[in-house]
Amino acid sequence: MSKQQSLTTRHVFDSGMTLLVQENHFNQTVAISGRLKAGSMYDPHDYYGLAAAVANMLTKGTENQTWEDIAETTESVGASLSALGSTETVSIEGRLLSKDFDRVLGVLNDILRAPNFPQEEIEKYRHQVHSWLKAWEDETDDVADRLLREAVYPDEHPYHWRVQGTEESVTRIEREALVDFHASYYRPDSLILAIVGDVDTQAVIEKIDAAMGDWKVNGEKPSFTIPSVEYGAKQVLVKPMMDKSQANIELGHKGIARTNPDFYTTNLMNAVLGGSAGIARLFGRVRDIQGLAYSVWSSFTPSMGEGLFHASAGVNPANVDKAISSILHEIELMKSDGITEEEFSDAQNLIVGNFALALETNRGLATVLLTAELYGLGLDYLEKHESIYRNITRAQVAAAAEKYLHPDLCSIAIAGPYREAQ
Amino acid sequence: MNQQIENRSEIIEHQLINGLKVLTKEVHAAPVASSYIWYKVGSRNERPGLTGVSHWVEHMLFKGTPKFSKEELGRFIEGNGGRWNAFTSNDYTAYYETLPADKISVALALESDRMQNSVFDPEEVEAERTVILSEREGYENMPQFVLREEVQATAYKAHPYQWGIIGWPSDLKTMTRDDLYNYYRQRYVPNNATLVLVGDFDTADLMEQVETHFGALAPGEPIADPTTVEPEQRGERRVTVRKEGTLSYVAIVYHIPAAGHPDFYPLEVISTVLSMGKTSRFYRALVDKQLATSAYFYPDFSTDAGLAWAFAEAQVGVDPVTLERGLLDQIDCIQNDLLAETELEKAINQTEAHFIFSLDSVSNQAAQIGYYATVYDYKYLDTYLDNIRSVTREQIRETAQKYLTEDNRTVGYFQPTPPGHGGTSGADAPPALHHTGQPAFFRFGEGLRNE
Repeated sequence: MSKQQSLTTRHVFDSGMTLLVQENHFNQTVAISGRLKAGSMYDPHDYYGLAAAVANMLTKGTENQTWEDIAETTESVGASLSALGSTETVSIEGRLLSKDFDRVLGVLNDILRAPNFPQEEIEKYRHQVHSWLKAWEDETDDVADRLLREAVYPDEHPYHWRVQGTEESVTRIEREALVDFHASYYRPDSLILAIVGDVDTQAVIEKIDAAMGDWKVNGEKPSFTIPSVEYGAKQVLVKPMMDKSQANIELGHKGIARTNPDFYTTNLMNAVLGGSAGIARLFGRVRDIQGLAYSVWSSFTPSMGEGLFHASAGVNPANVDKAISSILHEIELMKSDGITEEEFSDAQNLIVGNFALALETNRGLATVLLTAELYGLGLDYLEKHESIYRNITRAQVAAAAEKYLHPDLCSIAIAGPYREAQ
Repeated sequence: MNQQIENRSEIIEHQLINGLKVLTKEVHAAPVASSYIWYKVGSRNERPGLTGVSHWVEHMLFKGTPKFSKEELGRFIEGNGGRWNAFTSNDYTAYYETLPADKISVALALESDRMQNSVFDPEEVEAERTVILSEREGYENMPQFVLREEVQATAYKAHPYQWGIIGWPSDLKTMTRDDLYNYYRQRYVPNNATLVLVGDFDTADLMEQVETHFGALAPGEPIADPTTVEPEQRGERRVTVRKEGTLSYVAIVYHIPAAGHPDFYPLEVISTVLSMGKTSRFYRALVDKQLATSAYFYPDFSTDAGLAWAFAEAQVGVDPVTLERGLLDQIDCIQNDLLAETELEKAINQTEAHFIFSLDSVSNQAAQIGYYATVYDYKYLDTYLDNIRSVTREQIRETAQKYLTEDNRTVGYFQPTPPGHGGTSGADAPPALHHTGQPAFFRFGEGLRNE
């Protein structure tokens, strides 16, 4: 973030599209980032993976150009532009030199509005997903993560299934379904764009208006509320993968929505529990003192709905049971006793300081602006961030730990060279 | 390309009496500063029996000194709002802190103290032994790591680059506290280090602080470089790993010269042409044609003669023989036919843009400067773009003909076996600093979300 920073400009076009622009003339680069509300939460239940397929296929050909033309236009000047589907949104990420802004904007406009989903590319994509799924099922951390999500969220909940779908569901996705999904969910009023870097704000607004101003909405804006979930009964799920060296453990339960006012308090608490290295208890005790694991950490996933709270560790198979009880013990201690005054001020400093470091790059700043817009945190979120964390009290942290940590309800997933004792 | 994209370094070089080299660069774009200290020590300096010692020493520098306990070290940086980590590679070990600019002296206090005063408490050494073994076991879960380790061990028979940075398990099980401590005492001296400082500071003021913290440290004996030179390879070598898994992987490596050799520039352009983006030749011929999910080519930029790597992950049902053929066909094309003019121009544009993007934060700038200073020479950055721009199509073909030959290559297969069959011997390759950089093993991953 520039020290002589101009303020962020927020502009809403007649079409409903939201634009956030922040000038940064430190060098001649620009980040274009976007979030389109067209993630896998909109997948019909018999078409898991549809939203991710649409996002992936945006760059695979439009009514005006082939995938090769699209790639050539950006790559020939060293720029990049990609789209990736996740549960809630599709992320657009572009990186370019400022002289190439018009060129990249032209491609962005085309891929968002006129993808034509060539049959040949659909088949390639299906094949690619089959390979990805096979690769992920061979990765112990990925398998443990999948098992935990399946345990915590019920069958039809968007956080239960993989964004990319299953081998079977992807095989069934036809061109017509892609076209229909695109027509329903790719709309200007579902799109937030952030442009950060070596640009002139007014010129950017005019250029985007000229390129995308004729993009009209069709029908009612789709809405979707992520269903609330109950804390489920504790489950233990094991996938033995006996030719691996290490077992991955994932344990946890449902967490808290990003828009819940307690999110910040919970995030501060988690920095002490397992969200950092230098000051976190999981790192200090389970790794450094007990020597049980190279990697051990915890997180409350920021999400529109109640995202996952989970602790993760990769351990030698002989230490699986010991690591699980150590992690659960730390969660219990946090729930019963909260954090010390010293941990409290360290965690505040850590979060506030690291936030400032994240704003140093165009991409980092764009990501924060998009988060603020997506979750309705306000355009002054950057300025408010420090006071939000400074105004939290230690008693509030203790209350959040008591309210949002439930060691007795943690489901446990293990993948690796490990079998449950008979 | 525009003149404005020139990126002269504005780096100032300082030398303390004890031999510590200090490179500073003022950047006032944001109120942030970054400190990287680079030691010229890595797996290249190890010997059989002590493989992995450099990386383990790096872990021990987080365990405290008489002045600061390990808890205090952790609080030092994170409690001041900073970010820190360390990483070890073949040729170097580096420690970094990025902080609000007014806190950068904290990094100087920490690094000057732990350069010579780390304790290596025997109990801590034992606790870390299991952590390191756990780190290794995590890598072993990934076919890419297993194949890479096997291929390196086959491509080199004499030079220390034959073993991985993490080290062999038996060495990690038997190495003693004194092995670690002696290695540390000998290598962690100011005359074997480069301190890189980039950010929002006044150089003269900061150098006074550098002098205060580092000036009194005693220099050590000069450290001899390893003398072993890898003999010329005189014929293709092949190796196969069979292990439970789902997809095949293929690695093809070629011996190339050490960092600084002029052939590096055409090799970098070859890397871009073969594997940068969807218009690259590997993407078109392998990914788009449903043979691979990903494929890349890059030359190691290393102090001694390194390897150029072609690496691919197969799509489901594709066997390694087919994948190898696909990779080799593309390499053959580079050897036989001149690139189109437009393809060369595109590769140069991509390299230039990538170079600018890679310098987008003080932390990345300090990393790049220190990396080149330690592996070769930081002035390499000044002339890098000019040298890339002057690469010709003929040079590219000649360089491919010179190095990417059958006699100079080692081919490795990872052949997955179904569960239950056992075997004989993660998602991405280990992180690389630069697209031509070596893999580096970090002390810890990213954890905290910057919400």
